[in-house]
Amino acid sequence: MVRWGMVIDLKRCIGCYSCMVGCKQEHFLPPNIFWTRLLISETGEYPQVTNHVYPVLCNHCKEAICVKVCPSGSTDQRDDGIVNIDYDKCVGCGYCVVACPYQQRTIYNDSKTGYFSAQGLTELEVIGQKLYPLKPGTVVKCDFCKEKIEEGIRKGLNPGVDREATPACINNCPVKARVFGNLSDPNSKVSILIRQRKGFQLHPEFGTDPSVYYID
Amino acid sequence: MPAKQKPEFYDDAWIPTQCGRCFSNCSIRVHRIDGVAVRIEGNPDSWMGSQGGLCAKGASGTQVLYDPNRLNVPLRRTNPEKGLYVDPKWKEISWEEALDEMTDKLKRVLDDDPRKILLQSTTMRALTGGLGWRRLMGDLLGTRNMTAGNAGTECGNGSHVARGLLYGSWDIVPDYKYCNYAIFWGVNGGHATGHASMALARLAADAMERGMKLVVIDPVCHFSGSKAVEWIPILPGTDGAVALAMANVILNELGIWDAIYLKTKTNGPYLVGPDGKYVRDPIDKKPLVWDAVELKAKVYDDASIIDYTLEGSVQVNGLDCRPSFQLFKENLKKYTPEMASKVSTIPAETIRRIATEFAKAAQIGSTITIEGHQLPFRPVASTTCRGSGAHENAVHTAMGILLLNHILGAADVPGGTVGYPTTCLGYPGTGKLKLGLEKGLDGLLTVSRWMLTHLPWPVKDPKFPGDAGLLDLFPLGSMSSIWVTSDREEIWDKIRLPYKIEVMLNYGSNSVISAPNPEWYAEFLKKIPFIVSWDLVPNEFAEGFADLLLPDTSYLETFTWMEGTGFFFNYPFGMEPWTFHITQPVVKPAHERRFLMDVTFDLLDRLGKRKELNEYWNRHIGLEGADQLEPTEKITWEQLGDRALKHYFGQDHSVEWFKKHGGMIWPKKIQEAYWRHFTDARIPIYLEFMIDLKKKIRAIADESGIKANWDQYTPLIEWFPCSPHLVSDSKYDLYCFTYRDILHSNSSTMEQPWLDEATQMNPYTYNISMNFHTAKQKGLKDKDLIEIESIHGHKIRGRLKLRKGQHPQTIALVSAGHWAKGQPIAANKGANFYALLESKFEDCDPLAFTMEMSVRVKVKKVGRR
Repeated sequence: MVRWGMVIDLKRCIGCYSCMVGCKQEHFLPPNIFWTRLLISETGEYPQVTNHVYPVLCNHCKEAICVKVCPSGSTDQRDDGIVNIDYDKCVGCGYCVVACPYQQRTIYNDSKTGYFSAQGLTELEVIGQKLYPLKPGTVVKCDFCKEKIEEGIRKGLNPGVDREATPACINNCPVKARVFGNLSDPNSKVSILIRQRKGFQLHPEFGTDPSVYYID
Repeated sequence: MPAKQKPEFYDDAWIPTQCGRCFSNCSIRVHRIDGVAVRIEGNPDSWMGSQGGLCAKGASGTQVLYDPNRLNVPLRRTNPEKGLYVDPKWKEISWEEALDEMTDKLKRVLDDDPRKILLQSTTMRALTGGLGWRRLMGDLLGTRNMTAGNAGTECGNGSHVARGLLYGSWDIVPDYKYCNYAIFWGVNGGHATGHASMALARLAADAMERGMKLVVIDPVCHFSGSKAVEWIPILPGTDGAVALAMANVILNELGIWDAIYLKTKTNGPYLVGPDGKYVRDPIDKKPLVWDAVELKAKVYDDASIIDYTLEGSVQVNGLDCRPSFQLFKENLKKYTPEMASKVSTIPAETIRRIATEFAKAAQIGSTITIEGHQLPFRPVASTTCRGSGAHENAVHTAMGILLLNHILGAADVPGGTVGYPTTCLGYPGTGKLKLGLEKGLDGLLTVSRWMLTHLPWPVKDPKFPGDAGLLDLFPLGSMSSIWVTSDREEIWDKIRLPYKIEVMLNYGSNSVISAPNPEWYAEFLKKIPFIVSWDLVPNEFAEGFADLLLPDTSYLETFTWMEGTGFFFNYPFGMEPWTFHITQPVVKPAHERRFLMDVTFDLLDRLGKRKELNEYWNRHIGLEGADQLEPTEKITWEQLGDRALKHYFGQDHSVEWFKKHGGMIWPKKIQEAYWRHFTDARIPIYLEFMIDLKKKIRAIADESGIKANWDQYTPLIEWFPCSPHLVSDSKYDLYCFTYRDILHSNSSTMEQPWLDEATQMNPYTYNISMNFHTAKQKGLKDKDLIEIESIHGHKIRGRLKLRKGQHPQTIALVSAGHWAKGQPIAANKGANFYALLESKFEDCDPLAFTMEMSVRVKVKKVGRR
C-alpha cells in the first residue's frame, strides 16, 4: 500500500520561501491562507550563532488527531496516507484547527475579498476560484497536491519522480530541499534519505506519526 | 483542482519564456488556461536557473501581470506641482497625444543640445532596457548622460571595475562544481543575491553537500551566513584591510603563491622603475621583464623567455627596478592581521587562520583533467559584490578581495573563481556570437564586448567633462552618482556645465525610492521640465515627477530576444551548457499597454531617425550583406528579433522556432569555460596606469577646483577608511546599512501580495535589526518602535528586531517605505534606509564613483508597535 511522504533537507534549505509562494500559486490561495510556511529562529550566542529555518506543512499524520476529533467525518485519512478534507461535509466547527498540534489548519471564510479590497477580485483570483474552489466556512490545509498525484498516476507517471505528478512545493524548490515519494517502498528516495540521513519527525512525542520527515 | 470539478477549457497551453523579476532571466514555463496565465514554473530542462525550481519572486509573477493598479493607458500629469508626496492628478490620454508631445519636446531639445537629455533605466531588464534601449537612445539621440537609478550609485559599481580588469566579466562566482573552500565578503551568492540567484542556489546547495567549506565575512549572519561553516562578523567598509592582511599572511608569512600563474598570467614580473612606472623597451614601448635564466631584461612577450623573475631588484639602464610582484608583496607588510583586526574588529588570530586555510586549500600545483584537457586545479574562491563594495573605497576593496584568488592562481580554472562566460567560440551551426578576451595594451586582457559604454581596459584618456556625470573626466567609472550628491550644483558650476537636464526618459527605474537624501534628489527632478516614464504601476518616481506616464508591458506580455544574451552577465558558467532563451508574451498585452521597444521605434521614426536606428542594429547584431536592414526599412521590434535570431542561429531558427522551443542550448567547450588557461593575456596586480591617469585627471580637475580622494589613484592596492570610520562624535555609535533580501529585487517586488505576506511573516525583512546585547545595553527590546538619526540629521522610524547574529556596532534593514497610491500593498511598510544618507560627489569612490552606503547613526525608542 502506497504511503505518500515527504523529506525536507534542512541542510539544503536556504529559507527562500519558494515553497510557500509556489504553493500559494498552485492553489491560488487567498489572503492569510498558507498551506506551508517557514518557521525562523536563531540559537547560540554571538558570534557562534545558528539560524534555523523549518519549512512546515500538514504532516499527513498516520495517527491524525484532526481525524479523531472531526465530528462530521469530513476529515479522514485516505489509503495512500493523505489526510483529506471533504469540503461538502465540513461544517466549519474548527475543532480540528484547535486540535492539530502542528497548527497547520485554517478556517477559510471569505471568498469575496481578494488581495485588493478596493478593486475587487483580479482576473487571476477569479479563475483561481474556478480551478481550485475553496468553500467558505470550511477548513483548508495542504493536500499533498492530490490532484496532481491522482492525475499523474492515471497517466502512468511516478509522483516524486515525474514533475507533473509531484506536489508544487517539491518542484518549486530551487535547491531540491524537498523530496516526495512512497514511504512504504524501502527503495524510494524518501525512504533511503530517512534511513541514511537519520530522518526525524516533528514532535514525535505527540504520537501522530507524521508522513513528513526532516534531515539535517 | 478537485477531481469532480473539471471545467472544459478552450485554451490550455504551456509557454516557454523567461522570468523578469530580477536580472537572472531564468528560463520558465508559464501555464495559460482560457487566456489567463495561471502558474509559472522553472524550466527543468535548462541550466539557466535552478533546473525546475523558481524563487518566490518568480512564483508570484502572475500577480505582476494581474495587478489591478497596472497602467493601462498613457497618463498625463495635470498638476504642475512636483514633489515627493504630490498628487499628479493624472489625465488619461491617447498614445497619439503622448507620442506627439514626446516627439515635439525631443525635436526641440535635439535641435538645442541633446546632452540636455538624461536617460535612466532599471536593472531589471538590464539587457533589453540597459544594454539595449539606454545605449541605443544615447547613441541615436546624442547624449551620454545616463543612469541606472540607484544601481549606478551603489550596487557592484566598484566591483565591476575590478572584475572587468581581472576577469573580463561583469561578475564572478565560485566554480561550485569543484570548489572546496569559498569566502564570501558581503555577498549572498547562492542564497539571496539577485545575480543568477537560482542557478547559484542550485549549485551552492550541491557544493555544500559535497563538502565545500563556506566562510562568510559579513556584518550580519543572514542568508549565506546561515549556511556557512563559519560566520565572521565585520565592521562595514573594512573588508579591504582584512583581505590585504590575508594576502600579507599568505605571501609574507607563509610564503605561498602560484609562481607560474603570477609569472605568465599577471603583470607581476613587469619591471617597475623608481618612478613607479613600467620600464619599457625604448623602441616598441612594451613593458620589460627580467629573464631569470639569462639574467637580462626582455620584453614581456619575448618568446625566448624560459623563466621570469618575480622578486628582488635588478638594474636596467642604470635604474633600480623591481618586478611589480615584489612591490605588491612588500606593500602588503603594513597590513598585519593586527592592523586589520583593529579596523575591522575581526580577531587577528582568525585572519591568520582563514588565510592559512585558504592558501592550503588552493592546492597550488595540482591539476585536474576535464574532457581530456589537463588544467590547473585551484579549488578556492574569494568573492564579493555589493556588500563590501558599496563604500568610498569600492574599487580597492574589490581588488584586494579578488587578488586573493590571483595570488593562488584560482581564476577561471576548475574550482576557483570564474566569471560569467566571456569567451564563446561561436554557435556551432553558424559561428556567430563569437566573443572573447585577448591580449591588449601592455599585454593585459581586453574584452571584446562589455555592458556599458566603455571597455574596462584600456582606460580611456580623461577629458574635460562634457557630460553631467563627469565620466569624461573619470574614465574608470561607468555610472555617475552626481544626480543624488549633495554638492552637485557646485560641481556643475565648477565644470561650467553649459546646459541643464531638460528632458528625462526613464524606463522602469524607481530612483526616488532608492535615492540617498530623497528630498535633495527631488529638487533635481523638480527642475527637469519634461519627464517621461515607462512603468507597470504608478510608483513614487512616476507620481512625484513624471509628466507623461506610459503603460509598459510586463514580462509576461513582452517579446524580447535580448534578455537571452547573457554573455559575461548571467549565463551558466563552468562547463554548464550555453543557453539562449527568449522572452515571449504568454498573453497579449491588455488594454493599451505597449512594450518599450515598440514605442521607441515609433518615436524614433517620428524623429526621422529610422536610418540611424537600422544602422545601429546592423552594427550591434553584426548583420552582413543581404541580411542587413535597408536604411528606410520599417522593421518592427519583433521582426528585428527574427532577423537577429536567424543571423545568430541559422535560417531555420526563426522567432517562431524560438517561440515554440523557448531557447537554444548547446554544449560549452573547455576553451570557453576555462578560457584563461588557453589565452595569452595577463591581469594587473599592480595598477601601473594609475600614475599617469592621476596626473591627467588632476591637470583638468585642479584647474576647475574639482576635488576627489586622489590618494586612491595609486598602483598598489590599499585600504582607505571611509567617511563613517572617521566620525568622531561618539553619540553616533552605530553603523547603519542596508542589504538585499531573497524575497525582493530591491523594493520593486514589494507590491506583490504573496511576497508581501512572506515579508510580513519573516522576522527581519520589514524590520530593523540590531545586535541583541547592544540593544539590551540601550534598553531596547523586540518590537520597539525606534528612530534612527544619522550624522546628517536625517531620521527614519521602524520596528526593531533583535538578533544575536549581527555585529554589535551595526544596525541594518532592507530598504522599503513605499508611499505611492499606485502601490497600496507596499505602502507604509518597512522604512526607507536611503533617507538617512547624504554624500558629496567629492567623497565618493574617486575611481568608480560609488557612494558610501553605510552611515553613522544613533538610535532611540519612540514607542511600541
